[in-house]
Parts: sequence; structure tokens; C-alpha cells
Amino acid sequence: MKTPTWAEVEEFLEADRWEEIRDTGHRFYRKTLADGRVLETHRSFSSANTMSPGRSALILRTQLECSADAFWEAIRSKRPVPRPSALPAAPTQHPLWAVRLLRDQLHMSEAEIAAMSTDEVIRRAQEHWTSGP
Amino acid sequence: MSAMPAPEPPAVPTQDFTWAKAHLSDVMTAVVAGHQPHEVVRRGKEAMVLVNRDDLATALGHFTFNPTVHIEPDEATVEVPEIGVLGFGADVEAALDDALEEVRIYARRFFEKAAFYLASDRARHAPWLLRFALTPAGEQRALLEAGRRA
Repeated sequence: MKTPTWAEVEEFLEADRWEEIRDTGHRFYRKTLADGRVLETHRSFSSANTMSPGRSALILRTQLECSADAFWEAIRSKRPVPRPSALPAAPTQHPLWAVRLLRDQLHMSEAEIAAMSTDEVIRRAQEHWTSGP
Repeated sequence: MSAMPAPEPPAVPTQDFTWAKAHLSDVMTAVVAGHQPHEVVRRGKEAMVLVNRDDLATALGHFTFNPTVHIEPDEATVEVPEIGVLGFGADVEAALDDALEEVRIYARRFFEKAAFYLASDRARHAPWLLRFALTPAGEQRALLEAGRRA
């Protein structure tokens, strides 16, 4: 699956008629939908220009509220996304507390944790807790 | 004919604005030292409630943040699902730092433009953002990362 660059995210925001707002030294984007709901997002300047399919799906799902197809079609046509749009499936997400426990106390790498299911991450964290010192 | 029952007194002390303004020191002592919320009413229509800051923080205590993280090689994305915030970084800690900064900015923006946000679907974010805003800056990261131990 093709994933967008941050520059393409900005291109989408322009095509989808998001408002760019500079506020207290921070830049973000806002779109008010026809039903009155308010969407907001920001672009990252601190991370790499490319992104994984999982990160892309999270941005589409939680902030842009559209499918990947609708995202690319908006850029191609320079027209806003018809909403409601189908949302991409959520990628695997682990609870932060469990990730940190496995990393800091069981000395697992983030890559090892990423390869586990969420149920497994939680189970290993709970087992560690209940096993005691 | 039976007499009309006396109206129930309000659960919290309620004062007229003009009286409260003239006795603000007493009102504040009752709220802060006495832990007694006070409602202040202006012209019989507009109302506000004064609450001890720590009592409010305690009352908001069950609005917990439960961040999740999506990990890929050289990339992590933290989601704060209660308020729709994402943080991006090369690893989990960098993504959490980014999410923390985004929550700080969002909380400041939310309460600067409170009338706008409270009239939208984002009003549901208010208790989490208020709890975050009432937390000392040095403790906000811990608040965000605490989560619910499922």
C-alpha cells in the first residue's frame, strides 16, 4: 500500500479544504464537517518524511476521517472528500504501560514487542506483575 | 388547606453575584479552606461554580489517559484516544514526547477558544483536558503515561 509523505498530507489538507491555523507559535489544521463535528490534525517536522502503513492508517482513521482511496482521490482531483468515508482498519496498537514494562523490566526491544499481539503484550506484562520479585 | 412546602435549600451555597463580589475573601476561604463549592448567580440567569482546585482535580481523577502505541522499524506513533491526539517519533519515548507537547498545545488552545470547542463534538474532551491542565507541568508526562492497567 502506498503511504503518503508529510508533504502529501499537506497537499491533501489543501484539497480537502482544511483551514491552516497558526496559534501560539504552533501550526495546525482544522476542518468543520457538515454535521458540525470538528477535525484537527498537525504535521510532524520531527520525524522522517515517509511513514509506515500503520501510522498512515492511524492518521486517516483518527484525524482525517477518510479512507486511503479517498485520500489519494482528493489529491488527484483537488476536491474535498465526500464524508462519511469508510475508515481504514486500526493497526496493531499496544497499551503504552505494557510496552514500557516489557521494554524496561523484561528488557525486550521495541522490535520484539512490535511483533507480538496486543493480547500477548498484556499477558506478558500481567504475568511479570503477578510473578513478584 | 395545607401550606406550601418550603423550597429545598440548594445542595451547595448559592450567592448573588453582587453579594459574592463584596464578600469574595469569605467566599474564597469557604471554597479553598472549607472545601465547599459555591454557586454564584448573576441576574438570576448566569451561573458559575467556584471549586477548590485540588478538589476539582480529585473529582476528575477517573478521567484517565490510556495511550496506545503502534511500533514499526525506526518509527513509533502514540495515540491518546480520549482526546484524538497523535504523537510521532523514531521510537516510543520520542513519540510520547511529541504526544505530550501536542496535548499541552491542545489544552491551551481548547481553553483559549472554549466557547468554540464546547459548542462542538469536542466538548467531550473537556474533562480530560481540564484534568491535564490542572496537573503541574512537571507531572503531566506521568499523568499521560500512567494508563489503566487492564
